[in-house]
Amino acid sequence: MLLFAIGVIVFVLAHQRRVIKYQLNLQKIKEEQQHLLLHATIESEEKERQRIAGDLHDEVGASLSTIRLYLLQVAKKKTPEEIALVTGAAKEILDEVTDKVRQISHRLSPEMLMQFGLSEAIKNTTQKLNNTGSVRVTFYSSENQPRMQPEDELAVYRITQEIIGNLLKHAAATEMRVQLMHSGKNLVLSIEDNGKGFTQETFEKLKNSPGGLGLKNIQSRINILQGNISFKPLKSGNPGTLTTLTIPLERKMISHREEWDNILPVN
Amino acid sequence: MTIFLCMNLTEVLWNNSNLLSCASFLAPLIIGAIKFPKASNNIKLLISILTISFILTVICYYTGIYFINNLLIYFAQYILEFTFYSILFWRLLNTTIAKIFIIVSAVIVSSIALINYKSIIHPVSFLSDTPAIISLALIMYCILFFNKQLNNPLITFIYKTPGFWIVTGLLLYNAGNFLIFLFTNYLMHRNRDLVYLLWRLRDYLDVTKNILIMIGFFHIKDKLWKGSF
Repeated sequence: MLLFAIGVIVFVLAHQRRVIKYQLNLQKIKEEQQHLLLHATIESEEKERQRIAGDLHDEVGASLSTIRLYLLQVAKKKTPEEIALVTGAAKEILDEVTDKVRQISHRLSPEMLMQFGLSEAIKNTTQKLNNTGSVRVTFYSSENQPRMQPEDELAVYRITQEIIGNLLKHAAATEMRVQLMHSGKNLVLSIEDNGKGFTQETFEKLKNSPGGLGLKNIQSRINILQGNISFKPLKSGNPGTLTTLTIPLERKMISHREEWDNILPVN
Repeated sequence: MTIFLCMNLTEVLWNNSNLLSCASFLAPLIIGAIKFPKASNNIKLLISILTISFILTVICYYTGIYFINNLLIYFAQYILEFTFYSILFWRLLNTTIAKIFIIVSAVIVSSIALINYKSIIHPVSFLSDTPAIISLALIMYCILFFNKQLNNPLITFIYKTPGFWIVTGLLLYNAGNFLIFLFTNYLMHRNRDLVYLLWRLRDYLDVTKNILIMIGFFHIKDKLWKGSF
């Protein structure tokens, strides 16, 4: 009986040790994933900064230098006609610069999204894609969609852009069917395509690998939105993927402390 | 010289196991008194159980010295300890199965104790059945507690919690005592020397239990979760 009791105690200790080891491993994996996501976010921000810097330098900077040259010419011109000619040319370039700045600003924060909401912004994107003639995108959405928080709408919009971009770039899709619906307390965005196909396993593998910046960004944004994403083959059996993004409209704030409370025991 | 001293000390300890068992209660009681302000209600209840056990053990020790029959005091001690431990584990184990088990155990122990008490035919009969069944019930309580611990894995190591040491002490004590209690009455009329030997072992199990409970008390911290020690 005493031996049995000692056996029970040894078993409890061994089991506990194994559980703790497992938990520590899990924590380590989580930390690594968080690190990768953080790294991806920083890298993504850095790329965006470089792109903006490039746009400003190449397009705006060059134009402003030209305007400066024109303005220097004004001082040298003597007749009003000559001055009017130079200032007219400078004004034309100034108008171009204004347009370019508006374009850069639009890329940073889509005007359509801010004014009319997610549905219209995605619709606008799909229309632009259709206008290229190389891809056919159909868009459906439920009517009277409630507006979300601006930062949430922007996150969903960026995820949509990233997915569509990946479908064009990597899956070589030529047809897409985008749906934005409300299902219960969730916002559901589904995209069906006729591309090469993409699986959930590939997504999980790529997002946890050192590369796959775009997928990491998608995951990072989904984490912030407390949603989830799934990649499934089409039910019809045709090549392609059904990508479904589900975002809860009412999200609870989860603090780091609460996460630990779930792990910590009621001893 | 050292060997001689060690042998002498071992002999003294062996011959005074009963006294040692009594004295060992002081260790958890002193630590319990020091940690009392930080202790949870469950620890306070355990300190109460230990205090009662200590008083009754001292009474048994002195009545034993003067050759007064103290078997009924032992009987009363086991019943009281079982009652308090049942309350303690009722508070600790919050699953329905565990609570049903505690109720069933209480009913069985009460019935056996009543039958056992009424069937005394000899003045020096040790009521073996009741302490044995109590030990068995307490072993099951301890296993249920560990089962609960396994299902609610701790982020810290289990041996840093007071509950682990206290329940380990109780489990070892009751597992060791189960067979001793079960055969005491049978052996008392056949081989009394063996009974004395076994009861010395019981005393050392008591000492072990008290030391483990004392270690458990050392691990009392300010922050305690609901349903813990």
